Amino acid sequence: MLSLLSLALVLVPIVAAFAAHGWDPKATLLGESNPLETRFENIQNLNTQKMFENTTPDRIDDMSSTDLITHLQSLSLDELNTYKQSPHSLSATVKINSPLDFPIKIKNISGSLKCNDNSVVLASARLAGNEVSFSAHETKNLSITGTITQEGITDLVTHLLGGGFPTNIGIENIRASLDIYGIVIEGAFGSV
Amino acid sequence: MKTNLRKLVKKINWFGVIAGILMIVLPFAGMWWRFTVGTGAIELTTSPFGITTSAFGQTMESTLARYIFLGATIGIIIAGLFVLFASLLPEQWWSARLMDFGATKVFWMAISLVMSPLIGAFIVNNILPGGQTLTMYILGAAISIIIAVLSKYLASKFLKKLWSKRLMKLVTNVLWMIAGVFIVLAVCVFIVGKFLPSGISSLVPAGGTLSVNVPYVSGSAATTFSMSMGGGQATLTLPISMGLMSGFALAIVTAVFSILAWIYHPGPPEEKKKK
Repeated sequence: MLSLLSLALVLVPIVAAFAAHGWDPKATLLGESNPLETRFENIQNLNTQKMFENTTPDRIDDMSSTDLITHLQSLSLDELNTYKQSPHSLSATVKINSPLDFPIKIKNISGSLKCNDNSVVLASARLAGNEVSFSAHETKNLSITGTITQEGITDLVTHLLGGGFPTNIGIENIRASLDIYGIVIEGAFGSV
Repeated sequence: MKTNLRKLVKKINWFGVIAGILMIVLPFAGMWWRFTVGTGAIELTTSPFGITTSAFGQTMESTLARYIFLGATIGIIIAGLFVLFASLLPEQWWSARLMDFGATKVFWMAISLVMSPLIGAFIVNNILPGGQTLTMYILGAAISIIIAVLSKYLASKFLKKLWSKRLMKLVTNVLWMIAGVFIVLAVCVFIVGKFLPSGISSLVPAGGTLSVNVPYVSGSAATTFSMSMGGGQATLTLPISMGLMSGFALAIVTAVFSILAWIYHPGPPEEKKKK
């Protein structure tokens, strides 16, 4: 009699659960919705091009574009050549729109800044400062710092003497370390 | 009147009274074990009476699990009431039967809760990577079965006292459980050997690696998976953490009192007559 009670306490809930969902095994076992499916639906349609905006250098050697233009214009041809030969640093701000429905943290990001108009690699760049956290669909500015390449400084000087920075800048060879709910994904993510 | 009351109080199985009350309280005393992947990627807390699961910030619900845990909750409350009544009235004819029904329930629940993640982690860490042979597991199962059969035979032959018979029954059942564990592991080794001769790594695409590391019941470890992606290599690191929770401590206390109550409890009237 008592062993029948034990058996009933196991079998009755199982039968009742299946009966409550019209004998549908998936609905009985997993419920009405699968959070993993709904959570990652938008990843399949991810458009990385739409994520990045306004990638233009803010400062070169800690000088604003107007100061730099005045400085370059004051240099003689020899001084300009010496300027081109010496190492220079660059900082830029990249506006990123997170298209994701869930929070994500960029722990580190690095890549090459490239002028898309003439395919010149301007600088090797990396994330300045600490990791950046994005909540769902948040837009943030990422500060990037880098070292300008020899070809890059020549191209930049040409653009600056023409009146401004190159505008059509892309990022290639992106290497990033992302944190999604504590799961760390590190690797190469192509170019934008 | 006073003497009768004193006699009655003296006969009460106090271990059982405590065990019965604890068993009724236990389903409401919190979860027993937690399992986490990352920081909220997967969060699971469970006990034999309930489960909470969330994946990537969203709660998951299973009607089947909810109903099964409801059944277990009702079952343990009934068992607790049985142990309580049996302990308060140990001389009634039904007392020993009620005690037998309820007393070992929490013990087996605690054992199952520890064994399940232990076996799971052992399978993931040792059997899934491949290269294991069946011999050790078959030998383990055979030895456990032989000892269980032998101890049952010896107990029936030599043990006369009720408490020693009950204790031996518990030990024999634990041995049967160990044999069962070895058989389950042997089946897993056989399946992995048959379908994944090079282990789980053979499922990883070319150029990728998989390093599986899962903690045993309590602790932290990280599983890493790397794969070729766009000419480069991407690595996924999954930090896994597990731990026993406060509810489990109460379960152990309850199990100890239940077993003591069961061993201490007088046998059914027919056994007394035999004496």
